[in-house]
Amino acid sequence: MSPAIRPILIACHEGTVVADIGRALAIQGFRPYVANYPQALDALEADLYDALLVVPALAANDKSDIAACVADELTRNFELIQRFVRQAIAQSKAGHVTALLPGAAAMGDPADTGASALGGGMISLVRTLALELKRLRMTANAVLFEWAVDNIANSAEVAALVETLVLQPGCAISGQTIFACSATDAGRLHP
Amino acid sequence: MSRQITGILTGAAGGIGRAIALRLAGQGARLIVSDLDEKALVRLTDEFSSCESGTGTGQLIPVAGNMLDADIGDKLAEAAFNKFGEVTVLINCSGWLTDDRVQNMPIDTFRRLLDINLVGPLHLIDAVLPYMQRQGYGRVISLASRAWLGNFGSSGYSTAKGALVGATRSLALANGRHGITVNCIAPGFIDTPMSRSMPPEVVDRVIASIPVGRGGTTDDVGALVSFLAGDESGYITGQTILSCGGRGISEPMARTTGGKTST
Repeated sequence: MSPAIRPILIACHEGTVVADIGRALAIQGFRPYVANYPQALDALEADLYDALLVVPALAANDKSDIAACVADELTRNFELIQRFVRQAIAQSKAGHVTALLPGAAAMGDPADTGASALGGGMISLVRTLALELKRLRMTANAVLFEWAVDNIANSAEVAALVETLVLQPGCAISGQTIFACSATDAGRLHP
Repeated sequence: MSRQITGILTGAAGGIGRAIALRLAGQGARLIVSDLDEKALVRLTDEFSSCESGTGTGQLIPVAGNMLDADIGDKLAEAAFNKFGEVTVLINCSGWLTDDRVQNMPIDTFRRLLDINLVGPLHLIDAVLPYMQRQGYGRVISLASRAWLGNFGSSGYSTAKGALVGATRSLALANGRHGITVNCIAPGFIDTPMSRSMPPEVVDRVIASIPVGRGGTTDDVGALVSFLAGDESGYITGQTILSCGGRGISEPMARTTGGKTST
């Protein structure tokens, strides 16, 4: 059964490829609004959303102080999540937070320590969110994807997974790190 | 013969850091010990000098430092190299914790938690890796936390420690062929001044959730650091090793049932 039209806010940086995810969610009955981070903060002031999908990333030219760049990006995402949580609490409604992360970085990328740190930080944040928000009928999960050449691989499947996670208010799937990476993570210790 | 441990220990004046410093120096290690609390550092080195184990080859050299300073890494790495001629070990033990629910956590507090628990340690690692790569040997050990698995009220701390764990995986993969291992230790509930400040009823519930039936000691963590810092641990890298009495596989807080606690 197709869900009622559900507004979902997708927060990402300019240039992050999430158009396919947005389209797939739209087909599945969501009303996605894709916004960069400042716009996403404004959007949460102006409108109500059932779910928040964050797509943290480091800019390619963030090479000066990687550690500080990671902290900047984690803080940016936390601020957005916090605003979403406050909105949900104020409205006494269930809500869902999903962090969309590159699986290869989260598993440990020897060439990109910043991305690995960012992934690890977001995974731990999601776990803590899940613990804190469960009594509020809110859930939080991390979905790990793999990159194709210039896009998220299997974006329809990733979107279907996100749909499953955000469809049921207060569902039991929360605090999880779910790899949609065609088994590239299999046989390795997960973070 | 085992290689002498020479390097840097941050957060050396704290409960766990102090235990690590005294244990390693007692075993002959030579360390730059750093902390924000300069007086506590002096007390630490005085205590080591006056005890019996302080008469051996071990050495603790205090260098006050603030993890919020962008140049803390270079400062300590240079101090260690200038003093010892090599840097074989970095132990990131500095940290700061304050809790609040997600909806109430001030953004600047969240950021401060990241700066102290993540940015500072990564700066230290960045600073020592070139020395270790030239030597073809090194041990990087970062004190993460069981909160890496998620911890109620600890969004900032948990995020920082998770990021440190993620960085450790990457750095271990990148530096293994240089003879450098990079690992995290994730302590659980350890008896320190910080944990003693918790409400007794919370401590009771935490203790009840620990399978081995007791809180950890600073020596429990110190023993693990001592092993990872030595040359016998060379086949262990990229790991986050829990030292939590099994709490990592039990429920994080015992439930209260009719005034009693149960796991």
